[in-house]
Amino acid sequence: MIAPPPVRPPVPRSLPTGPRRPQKSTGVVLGFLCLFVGTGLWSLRSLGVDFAALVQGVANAEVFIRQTWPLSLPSGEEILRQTGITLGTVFLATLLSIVLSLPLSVWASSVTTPGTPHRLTSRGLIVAARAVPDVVLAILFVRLFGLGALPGVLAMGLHSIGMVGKLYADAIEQTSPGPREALTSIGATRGQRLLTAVVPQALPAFIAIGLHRFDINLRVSAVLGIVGVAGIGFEMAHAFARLDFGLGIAWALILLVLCLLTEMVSTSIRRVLLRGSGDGEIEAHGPLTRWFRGRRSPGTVAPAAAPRDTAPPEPPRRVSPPFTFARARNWMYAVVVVAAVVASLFGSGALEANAAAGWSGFFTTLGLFWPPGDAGMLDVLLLALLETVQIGFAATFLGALLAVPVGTLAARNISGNRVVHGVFRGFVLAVRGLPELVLAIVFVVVIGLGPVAGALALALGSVGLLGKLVADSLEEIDAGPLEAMSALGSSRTQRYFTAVLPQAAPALIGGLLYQLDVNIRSATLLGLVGAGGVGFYLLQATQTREYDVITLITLMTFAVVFALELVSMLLRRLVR
Amino acid sequence: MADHAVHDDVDREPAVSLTQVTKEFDGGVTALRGVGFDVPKGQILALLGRSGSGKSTLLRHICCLHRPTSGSLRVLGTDVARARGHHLRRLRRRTGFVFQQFNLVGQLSVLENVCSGALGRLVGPRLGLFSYARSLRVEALDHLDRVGMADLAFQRTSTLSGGQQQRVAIARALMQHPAILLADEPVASLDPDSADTVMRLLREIARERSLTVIGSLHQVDLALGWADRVIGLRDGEVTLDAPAATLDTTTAMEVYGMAPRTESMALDVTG
Repeated sequence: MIAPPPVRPPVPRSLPTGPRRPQKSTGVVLGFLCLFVGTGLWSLRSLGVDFAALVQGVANAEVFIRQTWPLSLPSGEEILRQTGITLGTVFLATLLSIVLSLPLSVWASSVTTPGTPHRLTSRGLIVAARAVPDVVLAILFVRLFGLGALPGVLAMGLHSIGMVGKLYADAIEQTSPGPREALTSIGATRGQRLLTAVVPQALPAFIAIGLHRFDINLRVSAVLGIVGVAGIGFEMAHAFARLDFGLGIAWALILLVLCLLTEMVSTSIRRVLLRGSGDGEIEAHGPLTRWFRGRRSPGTVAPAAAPRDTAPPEPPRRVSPPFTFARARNWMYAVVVVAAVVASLFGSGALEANAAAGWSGFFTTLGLFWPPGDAGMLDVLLLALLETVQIGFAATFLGALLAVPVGTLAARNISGNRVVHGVFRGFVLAVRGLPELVLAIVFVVVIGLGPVAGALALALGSVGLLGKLVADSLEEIDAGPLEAMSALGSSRTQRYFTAVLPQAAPALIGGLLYQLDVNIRSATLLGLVGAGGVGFYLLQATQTREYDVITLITLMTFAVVFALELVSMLLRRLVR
Repeated sequence: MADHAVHDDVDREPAVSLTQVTKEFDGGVTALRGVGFDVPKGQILALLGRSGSGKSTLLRHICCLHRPTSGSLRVLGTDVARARGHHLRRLRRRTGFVFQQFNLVGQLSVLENVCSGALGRLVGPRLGLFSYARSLRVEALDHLDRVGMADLAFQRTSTLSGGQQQRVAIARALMQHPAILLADEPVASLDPDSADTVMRLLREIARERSLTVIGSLHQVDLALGWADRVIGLRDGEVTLDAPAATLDTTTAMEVYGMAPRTESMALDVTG
């Protein structure tokens, strides 16, 4: 049976809008799918991903397990130390990106911007931050400040502005205009309006976005370890470089557990925060959510019933809020955050770097990166770039083959069974927790160096994001046609293909294109661990100090991603 | 039309004076057409009209949120068209505005929302209750007391009912030390009981502090019992201007265009 429809209004966007449009869309959708499948198959062939490779991989896995088992666990003290450094670096980086994103987003948002020049400048800076990969920034900063935590803080902090700044600007735009207008009518200045009307409204979203970026940066820190940013990623890269697989995998597992733990905590906090800001449909699931929610109910502290027409017998004359549990908790949060900042500053070793000396060589070092150069191997780089793109396509294709069934079963309204829905949602969440780089390392060790390992690692990683996108877009479809089809006496498969897929098609294609973008960006980094593509030359150029090659690779990758962005913009417009 | 120029005595100058005020929006919509009338100090004036008749636009002009396309608008003796920078802010501060949707910041406490009414006379941005001086907080509590909301001062504003929020909004307007109180459909989103409380509060407070009040309403009965004077608007033009005491419901209903061809329109107004 079909589960009861979700209690939300139908999403008009995903409904067929007229008798003529769907036909045109259907053509575009089919064309896109043919193109997507064709490119995927071609990429798989060129990379040499086939059944034999998979069988070979399974056989190798046995050897691999014998090699790594038993895991050589680092000492408890060492684990704590490296965990502290990693968390501290990631925390400071995220904080840096938040601090820099706040003014940028205020300027970038149409409702708070002082003027068009400010708006264009800040938008440009945000886009630029996203365009430069964090690894490239890390290579630059490691060159400046040496190995340690500071390069990681700066690299992740600056690159994160690309996401945090954009989402913050969106959050500001989504605040309700009423309070702003009221403050204008009071005679408040722009700054007063910003702080009194906009910030309180956007604060939950600000914190939630920051937490989300923290999760992402924790995964990114694994990659940055390879180019010399201190922490678990660095230890892991070192262990693999010494072919100490047992130790490397142990560090990978530690990072994995850390990722899953922080993901759990931050998902719970995010859910509470966003629910509090008016999104009433999110229900509490986990114990953590219940804990945070249970302790966040400001409305129940004071008596809610107000005497309607009679004046209160004795109005309270205090003009400071009573020191309730809610207030004590807010203080506790503030203390925890400040303590975390202090602990991160000292614990990560970010302060120990010789910053002054580093900055003094800033422009000299920047000069090493410009102009871009090819070191006489342009044809090799172009081939590697092609391989990177192929990895992206192959991984997205394989990932989609896995993610569509998994996502379908994870969709509440389609899977039709609470247990199935729960299990697959959990699986998708767990896969999302896996850092792609750790996956890539495992596949490189099992299958051997080369693009096949990279493509398979990204394919598996895609199930996390794409599976979630598929499930979400299926859950958003209108239940009406489903019911109508059931009334006709159709089978479940018929309903799925006639009523479900056509409705969700635009969202699914949007998800595919997004995943393709993510995969191509990730594929450029896989080479760092020997999983094929242009990333290998990124690492090689760092080691041979041919920094101009790094700039060239960055520009080439950016050109590919930008072209893809244009195509997907066009496609989305056609499909919608 | 108004001959406001002849009044030399400051005290006798009307609180608001409009002459041939016309407003065209960018889309080519004309919201006001040659509107002209004076509002003497201390008068309680009700603007009647259907939605889209220009009531809100008119109120927003008086609060200097819009500027007229042509014609002259003087508020408290100042030409709105020429007010800029801190003169404009000062003028806005002297005209309190009560909105249909309250427009409070739901995430802040009631007291902090009321305190924010003082922003127009403060320098620099404020966040958090303790960023307002103690004297301001005491004053805010007094205003809350006046509207009967002092015991909910530390509640999160979004937890209040509509009627309670509108009373908080009135307290916030009082915090501005206004000379004029503007109310744009202040009770359109409220249940009858709360509406009654809010309308009575507006009238009482206006009398206590000799405030000029201009409120837009679409319920004729409510307007006649509440205001000193009623002005009717239709399609951006004044179609009625009379003391409330001389009007009966039928006459006032003509504002809504109760001509034979739109008779059905009148039904949902009285209902």
